[in-house]
Amino acid sequence: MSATQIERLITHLHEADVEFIVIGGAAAIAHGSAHVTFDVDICYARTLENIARLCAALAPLNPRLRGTTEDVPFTLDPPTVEAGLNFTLTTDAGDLDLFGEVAGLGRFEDVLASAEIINLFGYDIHVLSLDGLIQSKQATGREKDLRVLPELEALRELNEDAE
Amino acid sequence: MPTPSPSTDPYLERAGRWQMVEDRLRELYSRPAVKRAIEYGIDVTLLIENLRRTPTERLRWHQQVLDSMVALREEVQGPGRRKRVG
Repeated sequence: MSATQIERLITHLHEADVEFIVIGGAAAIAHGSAHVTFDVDICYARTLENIARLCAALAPLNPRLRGTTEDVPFTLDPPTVEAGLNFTLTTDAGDLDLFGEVAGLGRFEDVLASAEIINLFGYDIHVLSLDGLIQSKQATGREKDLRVLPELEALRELNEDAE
Repeated sequence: MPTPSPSTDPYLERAGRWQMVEDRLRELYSRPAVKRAIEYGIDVTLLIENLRRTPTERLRWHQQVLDSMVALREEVQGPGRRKRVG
């Protein structure tokens, strides 16, 4: 299996007019993190229109639930997304996690307030800010999230020069 | 005989530049969060290098690293036996 194609996933969703914010490891890397991430995490707007755009955009990428066997029935369609919230997917472009809300921040509108627009691959993309990342990592309290805090806090301090 | 100065002596000029780099790094490394990160075991030089890149360059660089890691893993484990580690 090939590695997750971060550029392809982000540009594909953007070109399909999906309202989303890059969060998690990919956001941290955009801010300068040296960690390696194996998937792309996004927070998506849960309006009916956006859910429809999200499902239509991902359909050509053959999304399926990650970690399940082929015989588990799953279709990423609007009723499924409306009934659920967070989805861990594998697609033909790699692993993609969809979050309807983010720990410590809340739903899309709250996450958007903690996001900044960063030019990625030629597009203006909403990316969770370093402060937002730190806040969400602190909120989960999980060991794997707490481990990245020293790096994120150092990046925030190093970034002070650029502001 | 005129006294050598950084403007006339290439060695002194280079030494002066190194001194500036050293002073700059010493200042960066003394910042509280940076200091904590170093004590935690983080290679801060990687962060400084990353910050010299644009966000797009950072993600493309990461992609190259990721592609290499996945290729190496498949070489060792065989295709289709990928185990998530992150």
